[in-house]
Amino acid sequence: MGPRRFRDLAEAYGGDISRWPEAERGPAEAWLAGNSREGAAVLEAARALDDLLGSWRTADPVEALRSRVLVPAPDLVSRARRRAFVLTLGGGAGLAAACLAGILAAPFLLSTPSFGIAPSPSMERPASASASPQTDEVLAEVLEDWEAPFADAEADFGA
Amino acid sequence: MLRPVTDALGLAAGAGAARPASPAARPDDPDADLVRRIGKGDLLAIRALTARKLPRLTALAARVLGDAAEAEDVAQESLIRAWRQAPVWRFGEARFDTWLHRVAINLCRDRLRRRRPGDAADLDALVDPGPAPDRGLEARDIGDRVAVAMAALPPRQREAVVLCHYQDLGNIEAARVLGVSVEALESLLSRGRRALRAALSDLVP
Repeated sequence: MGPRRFRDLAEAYGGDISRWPEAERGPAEAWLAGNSREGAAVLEAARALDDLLGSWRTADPVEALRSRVLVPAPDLVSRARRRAFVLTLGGGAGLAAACLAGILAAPFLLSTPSFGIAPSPSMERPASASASPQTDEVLAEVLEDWEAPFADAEADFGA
Repeated sequence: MLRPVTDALGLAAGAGAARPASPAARPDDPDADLVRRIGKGDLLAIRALTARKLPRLTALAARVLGDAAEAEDVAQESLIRAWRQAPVWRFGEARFDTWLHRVAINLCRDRLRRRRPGDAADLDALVDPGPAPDRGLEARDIGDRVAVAMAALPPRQREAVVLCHYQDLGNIEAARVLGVSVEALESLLSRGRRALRAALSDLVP
């Protein structure tokens, strides 16, 4: 690293080397060790701007906003889980349909000369990862949601 | 000219597409455990992620938009999208915080596009009314000056400074949020900070 790159980094990322791009910190420290006076001046100038920017602080969110975010959350999560589950079912149905089509087509394919036609990549597709043993667990959770969709959530978050 | 970074990281705007969640979490994603628990409907995790992200998102939007009320709306909408995303979040592709920042930045951009030329931000409402014990009236005045200088920056430069300086994102994460290369991010930061230094020259030694 040379002085120009050191200055460029300070100009972009400020006067704290620990906030510079990870890969450049080591070389920067090494350059600084051998050029302490010049390097310190560069960092000090950058730090002065950092400090100035740090004086702009924003107000913390008010409690009303926190409630607006929390109250609908359980229902939104629950709905997203149901939607994900339905999509999982859809994927499973598609896989089942593909398997059924393969079974029905098998006698025809076996009795017909292939004429050197390579199998379609889609026929070589491995079993879907979505058809996992966890399906029963997801189904149980989703059914549980349907029975008791966070009935007390609003009261909990209102506290 | 900014070069778009590949967006094969699940960072597409809104990123609402449902994707099956993988059980393997990215080891350096500090939000992974909370997101997984939220995906299972854990109310405490919802509360914890809100406590962790709401101040961060509100501050981000306030500084990008220059409007406290709009910032609250953006923060709220961002977390609503987070609730929808958690059950289908695909771990290992991007940090959840990066995705959340991307959502918030896109919402801010939508609002800035809709603004009419005469719309002025209420910058006074953005500054912490304090004073805190270690801050006097002068600190608030300086904060006001910085807010005005930031508002005068071109939007992309402002976003870059906000993400790296105030939100403390690393260069790679900030570039992903903005959808630009790391080199382009560095250029935005340099130009932004130079402009700020010029605007605040009477305050910078």
